[in-house]
Formats: sequence, C-alpha cells, structure tokens
Amino acid sequence: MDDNKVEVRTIEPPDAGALVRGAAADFEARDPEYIRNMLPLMWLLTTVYFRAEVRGMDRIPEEGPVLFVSNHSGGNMTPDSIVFTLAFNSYFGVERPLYSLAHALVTSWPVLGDMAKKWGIITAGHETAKAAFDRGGSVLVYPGGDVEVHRPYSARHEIRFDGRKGFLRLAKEAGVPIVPIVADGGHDTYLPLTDGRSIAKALRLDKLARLKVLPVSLALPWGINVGDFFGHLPLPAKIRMEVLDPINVEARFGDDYDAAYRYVTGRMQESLTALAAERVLPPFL
Amino acid sequence: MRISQKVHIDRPPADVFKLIGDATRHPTFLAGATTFKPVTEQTQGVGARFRVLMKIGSVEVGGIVEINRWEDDVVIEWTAVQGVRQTGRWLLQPVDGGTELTFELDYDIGGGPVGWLVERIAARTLARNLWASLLAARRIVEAQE
Repeated sequence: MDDNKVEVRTIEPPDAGALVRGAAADFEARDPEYIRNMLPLMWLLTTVYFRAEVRGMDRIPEEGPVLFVSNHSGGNMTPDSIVFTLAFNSYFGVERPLYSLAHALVTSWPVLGDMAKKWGIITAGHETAKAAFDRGGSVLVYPGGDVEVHRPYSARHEIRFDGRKGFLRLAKEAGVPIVPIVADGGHDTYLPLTDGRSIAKALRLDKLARLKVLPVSLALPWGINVGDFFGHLPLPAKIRMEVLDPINVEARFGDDYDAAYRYVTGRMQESLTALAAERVLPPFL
Repeated sequence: MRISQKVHIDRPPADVFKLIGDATRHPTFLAGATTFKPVTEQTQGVGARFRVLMKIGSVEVGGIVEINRWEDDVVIEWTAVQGVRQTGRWLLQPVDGGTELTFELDYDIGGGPVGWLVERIAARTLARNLWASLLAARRIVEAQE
C-alpha cells in the first residue's frame, strides 16, 4: 500500500499544484504541543540572554490571517525569529497558527529541517504562503533574505529589502493586511565584515543554490567565519523589537507596488532608526 | 506550579464581591496585567470568557480563560481555553465580620526541566503582581463607606 503511494507521487508533474500539495505536508508538520514545550527555552534565551524588549503586540489584528513583514539581522543565527516567535505564541497562544517562510536550505536539512517544520517553518514561495493564508494561518516573511541578514556591520541599522516586492503582491492577492515588525540589535551578536556579493556572483552561487551572498564575519567559535553555513554562537546583545500598525496594500496603493514598497520600508526605517537611538554601548548591557 | 495568597479585608464578602465579580473594575486593581478584556458579551457567571495577559520577562504571556464556577459572594473559578494552561480562583470567606480574600493560580507551561526552572523564575513576577492586586483590592473595597 505504501509502495503504491510512493509510485503515485513520483509520476506527478512538478507544477505549482504539486508544490502546494507538497507544502501541505509541511503545514501538518506544525506541532503546537512541540512549540508549547519549547517556549520556556525560548523565554530563557529571549529574556535572560538577549534581554529583548517587544512593543506594540496589541497592534496585531486579533483574528484572521496576517502577513508579518520583518527585517532581520545576525546572520544565520538571527535572534529576531526566536524573539518574535516567542512573543507571538505567548501573546496569542500556540493555537493560533504562525508559519515562517525560510530558504529551502533550512527546511531541507536532515534533522534541523524537521525541527524547523514543527515550528511552522515552511519553504518560501508565493503559492505556499497563499495556502497558509487559506488555512487561516498567518505568515512571517523576511523579504531581505540572505542579502539583508548578512549585510555588513556598517549597515546594521538599515532596512535592506533589496528591492524585493513579492510580499506586496502576496498581501494584495491574498487580501490580508501587512503588519511590519522591526528589530534592532541582531547585528551586534557577531561582526559581519562583508556580504561578499561579488564573490557569490563570480562563483555562480545564485544559480546553484539561490544564494546571493558569501558573507565573511568574525564570529564565535570560528574566528574568521566564511559563509556562516554552520552558524555560530551569537553574543548576548540586546534586542529591541516593535510591531507597527497594519497596512492594507490594496486599499492604500492599488497596483502601485513601487509606492507601497517605499511606504513600508520607509515606515520600518523610521522605527528602526528610533530603536537604534536607544542602543547603549557596549550592546551587551 | 501553584501560587496562593490571601489578605484580610475589613468588609463583608458581599462588599468584596461587588469588586471581584465586576469585570469592568478588574483593570483598577489587577497589577501587572497588560490586557484584561471580555471576549464574550456575557461578563459574569459560568461561561464568560476573558483575554488576560501579563508581562513576564521580555514578553506578554497569557491567553483566554473561561469562568467555570461562579457562586455569588463565595467563589469565582476559571480555566484556560487558549494559551498558557492555567486554572485559578478568587475565594471569599467570612472571618470576624470581614473577608479573607484568597487568590489561587495553578499553571503549567510544559517544557520539561527548563519549563520547571522558568515556572519558578516567572513565579517571582507573578507572586509580586498578585500580592499587589490583593492589596489594591483591599484598599479599594475599604475606601467605600
């Protein structure tokens, strides 16, 4: 019986529909009881290690699907997702589904990938995200992706979405509000020197693995850390996070995605600059 | 994990219950609560539901609770229907012409040994807030002529 199932799956054409059906398994993999049991550890990391401050959770609509659009920092060990995932699940309960879009490299890891799926992390994609909304879930996306998270230290207080506007089309087509989340402090957890965009291009990493950068950083325990493929030990820098008011893309901007992009990134930059002004040195205090 | 605290109020239970049994007045004495609001039209008696959040460490923690026991001037008891697993109760006992007001909270956040540790760290904040709430309730009730 099981053999038959495998056979049927292998002859399915790789169209968008199959992608969504494949992703359906990922939706089922989200495990509220697993998340509930992990929250105490997340709480310790967030409260004791990163001493996070989270503001404006009451701006999140209390019901219905939402597209959370956030900036993120700190390389592959970004504290921002830990802090927001904890804040959301504590505030609304693990019963309200939140899915996070991640690079296929994250979800396809042998053991970590399965853990990620239990958290509700799904492979980034337009159709996958829409399917999440259809199931009543909310979705968290980091439009800046690898380009933003590996940006050099000098750009640490910068929203860097790299001109990516897919999230705006997604929100409009799905008819869900965008709620921007702004985080500061993640780039103090290590020292990114360069994002190595030109090297990545020369090595054709974009074509091979959808990687636009080859970052070089100083990070524990490696010292010089090229690629950050195996992560690193983040330093306990303070994380400040703010939830902004919901934005209805269609009502406000219609089809003008350029204007919507400028508005969303501009509002987020205002908030990030304000959060950055609260930063004290050293950032571990 | 259970937290239980009590305070003596120099007024009969009926007077105390006017405060404890009135959801609209909870924000006036519930210390540390960042959100306290009804999510059902009904705000008194069995079946009424409330959304209650308290800031514990970096984040606001809580969920929706439902009243599952309500006896005028005696007890109000609730249990969580969403969010952190908890049950709790306000108990009013007549003592020496006054009232002994008890607040009890049982909660379980899961998470094995780490959860055990975090429950105890969180208990410090919770206990401080609950004690402040009891004192505030006493002050408010005793201020009435």
